[in-house]
Amino acid sequence: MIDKSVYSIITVGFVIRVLIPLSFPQLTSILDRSVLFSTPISSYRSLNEGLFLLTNELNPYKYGDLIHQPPLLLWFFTLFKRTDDYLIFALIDTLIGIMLIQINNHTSYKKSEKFNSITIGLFYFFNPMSLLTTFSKSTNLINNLILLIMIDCLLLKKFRISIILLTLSAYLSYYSIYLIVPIIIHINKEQGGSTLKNIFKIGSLFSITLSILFYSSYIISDYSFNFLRLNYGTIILFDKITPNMGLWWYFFTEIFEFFNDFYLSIFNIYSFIFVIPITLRFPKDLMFNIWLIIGFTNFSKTYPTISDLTLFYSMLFLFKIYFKKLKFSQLISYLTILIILSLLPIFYFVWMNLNSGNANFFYAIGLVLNLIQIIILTDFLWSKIQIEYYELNNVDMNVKLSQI
Amino acid sequence: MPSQAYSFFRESEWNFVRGYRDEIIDHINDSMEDRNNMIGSWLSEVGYKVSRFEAIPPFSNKASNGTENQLVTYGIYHAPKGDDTEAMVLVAPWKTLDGENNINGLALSMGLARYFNRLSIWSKNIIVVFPENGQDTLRSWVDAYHSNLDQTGGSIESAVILEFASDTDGLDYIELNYAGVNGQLPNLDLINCAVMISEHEGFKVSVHNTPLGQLWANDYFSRITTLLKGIYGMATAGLLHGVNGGGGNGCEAFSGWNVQTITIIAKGTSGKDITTLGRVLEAVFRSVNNLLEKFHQSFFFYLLLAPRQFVSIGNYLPAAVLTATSFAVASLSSLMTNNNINNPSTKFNIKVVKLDNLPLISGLLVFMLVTFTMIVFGLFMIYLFSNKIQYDELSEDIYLKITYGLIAANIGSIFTPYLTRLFKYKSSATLSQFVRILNSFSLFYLTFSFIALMVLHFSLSFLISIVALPLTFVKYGPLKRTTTKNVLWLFLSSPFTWLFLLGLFNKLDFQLDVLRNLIQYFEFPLLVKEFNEKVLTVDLTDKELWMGPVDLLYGLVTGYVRLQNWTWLFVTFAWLPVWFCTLIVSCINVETSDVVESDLDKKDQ
Repeated sequence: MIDKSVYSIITVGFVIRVLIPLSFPQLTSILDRSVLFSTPISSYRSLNEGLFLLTNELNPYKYGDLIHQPPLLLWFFTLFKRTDDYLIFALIDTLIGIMLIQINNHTSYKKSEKFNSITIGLFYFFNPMSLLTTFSKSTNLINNLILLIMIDCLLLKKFRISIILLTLSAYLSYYSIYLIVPIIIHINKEQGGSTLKNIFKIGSLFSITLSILFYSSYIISDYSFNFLRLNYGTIILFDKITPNMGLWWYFFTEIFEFFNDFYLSIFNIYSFIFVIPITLRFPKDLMFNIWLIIGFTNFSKTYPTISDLTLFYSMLFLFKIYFKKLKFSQLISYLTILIILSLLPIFYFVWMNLNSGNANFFYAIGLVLNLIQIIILTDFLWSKIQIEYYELNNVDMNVKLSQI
Repeated sequence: MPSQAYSFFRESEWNFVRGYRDEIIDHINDSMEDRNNMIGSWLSEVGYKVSRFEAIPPFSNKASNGTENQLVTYGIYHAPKGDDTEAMVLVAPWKTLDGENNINGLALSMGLARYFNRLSIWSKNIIVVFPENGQDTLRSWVDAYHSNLDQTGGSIESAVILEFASDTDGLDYIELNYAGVNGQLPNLDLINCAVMISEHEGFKVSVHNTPLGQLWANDYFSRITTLLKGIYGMATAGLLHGVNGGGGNGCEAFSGWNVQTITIIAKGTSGKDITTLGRVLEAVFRSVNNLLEKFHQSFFFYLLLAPRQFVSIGNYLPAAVLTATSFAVASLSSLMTNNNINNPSTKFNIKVVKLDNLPLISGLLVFMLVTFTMIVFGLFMIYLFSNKIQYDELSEDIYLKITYGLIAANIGSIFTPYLTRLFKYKSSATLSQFVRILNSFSLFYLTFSFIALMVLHFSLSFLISIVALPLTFVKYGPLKRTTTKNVLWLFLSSPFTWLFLLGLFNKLDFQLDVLRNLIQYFEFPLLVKEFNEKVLTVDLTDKELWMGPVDLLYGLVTGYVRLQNWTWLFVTFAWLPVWFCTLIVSCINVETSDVVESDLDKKDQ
């Protein structure tokens, strides 16, 4: 399946991911200080702090209000020496790239409707966004990897493992729980039989796994359920208000305090509201569904980072078939993203360091970034609908459709 | 309102100021140590906590007498009522921007320091600083204040630099300097305050060196003159001024530390008396003192048209956006094969735009290689100028040679297309695509750099995008047809051409206001008179004139180390690489059209 040049791409990608942090160890702390790469729930700094506390008999989950990473994740990192972290992250990111190539091979699209493995590999392994995320050692990477393995398992019809992975991902990041809706529908359709029985099966597997995860976290956090509030409470209630590339923080600044509850409910509803309609509209194409949901949650999640964008934009390349009918040129949208991504730190700098700009500058540019993401997403949606129409009605692909 | 309180800085204080002035005149030629001891003893007599800072010049230059450490004496008055977290700074350098002795400035600062100490109104600390000059020495003090000084008085909210070079009792008008490096400006509120107070005390205020005679003009032409001078001044802040070249009025020394800084320069010798200026300073300090919060964040981006008129960012930013966009359009046009003059003017055809992998990758690689080389060159120059060669009388010749060597090499390289014409090689579609990708990608990179720079430093982005505009006119094709035009465009857009011109220009006594007057009130005899006086008197054999580009290059290259000025970095990271890529583009002989024959045939049918 994977030919020689792909292996060499993977190797070079891995070597870059190992060599650069080795030769510039200060890079991590520089990137980790940037709001684009680190948030209270995913930063390497807080991970280190948590590890320090955990190994010094001060359980961060029992006392205090500092660590927002799930207990099992922290425990996972206690298994390694701190100095080897760069290797773990390099490995995780390389695995993400490999999984993308695997998923691309396993999709049901026709060969002519897929990019070849080399394109996917090149795009992921030499994508500055994914490189920088690896160097910043964001713990979001682990979640990205688990999500991709889950998608691959779904494509290979290993449903039990995929449910377990989904639970793990939901445990790590909360937002992945939304994916259970399309997955239940997909598995139900694939396995056949009674719907209720299927739902019950998936539900019980999900809850058993989740209970195991929660129970082990409960033990790690010294017999305290405080971690639920620290991890998921922070994500849902947006407890740690820090500026990031997302849309939330601006609405929770002091002047809008009066509306906090209103915004909180609206944003939380908004992050979920598209899941069911999307699933119902495209019941056949699970991967596209998952991609859409990832896109919408990126747009509406509390603490987005570049790593979320990387997942979204890398998965985009699995859908070559939909590139045909896009309204907006890909070149232009990528260039815009590139410009916006480099303007974001500049605006942050103008606001925070030079004090000559203000929050509006940074938020406005973040808004544009999200807007472009949504434009790309809806553009693919439109393309998908068109192609469905062509296939359903046997229309010649070259005929141009337009909305009435 | 500023200036509302009655000020007691009047005749009785004048006696103190005069006393200090006489002493300063007596001792102005003493050694640096003695002078600083004198000021230090005065300050501690008055009741300030006096400290001394030794500024080690990062490397010496003409202004700093060899490698000798520069002394900075400063006194802190901890306001009894305040919470000791904020401070206001009054700076009186020993030498003004033009290299004169700042006699009245020092005396008035001492008088004010003495007077401030007796007022009970302060809620912020007052720091009085006496650096050797308002350039490197002050900058080192500011850096040290924020990092390792023992005696500090909290975060500095505002700083006023006072320069008053004469030793008379009067002054005519106030000149206000405010531009900091990297496009950083003080809060407009502070400037408005200073202007309002000065006018209330009866002074005319001049911004950007407007001469006395023009201060009453406030029409379209005077405003546009000020606007142009403002853009030019901000873009070149930290580069041009100062006796030694290489810039640094007081505002530049404070930039980057979130300190609102203005420089007040007293001009003229008659008119109002010196205590009036003292009252202006007092009122400015009182206004800052009354601030309960920080300066408002929406007044940091502006261009002044007159002391009391300004343009806000929303109105002027589109100008820079447009000039930057012109490069984006040129890049896109190049990508769509419009710059290849072999192409017949055909309708847009997607097949023509198609790119093969080989030229795409090699084009990008060449671009990266050029950029990398230029960045290394820029950093090497910084290393060379700031660590290896001192800029003093002795090594002036080396600097002269380096500068003119670079300029000559640059201008010489413009003519390489004439050389490459002599070599004959086969032109292919691959080559044409390579040139196309190099051209369009380098232009795109420049657009991108301008946009990134725009928010930080509007003026620089705007001016460079205008002078680099000829880069967008460069076309490629058979060298016989393109060379002459391309050479002209390359010459016009070369950074070193502009280094040369700007350096000379800076040494000439050119005043835009005079030009405006000539145009606005046109009279032929006046023109002849000005021409005779200004243009014909320029002494082309004067070495000082030809040192202009040298000073400018020194200011540019060492700007980052001395003042954290990013201009040189921008030039070597963006402008120079793109210029070189364009040079490569115009050196290559492209004789193939991007339109494939068969496509044309199809069209004909």
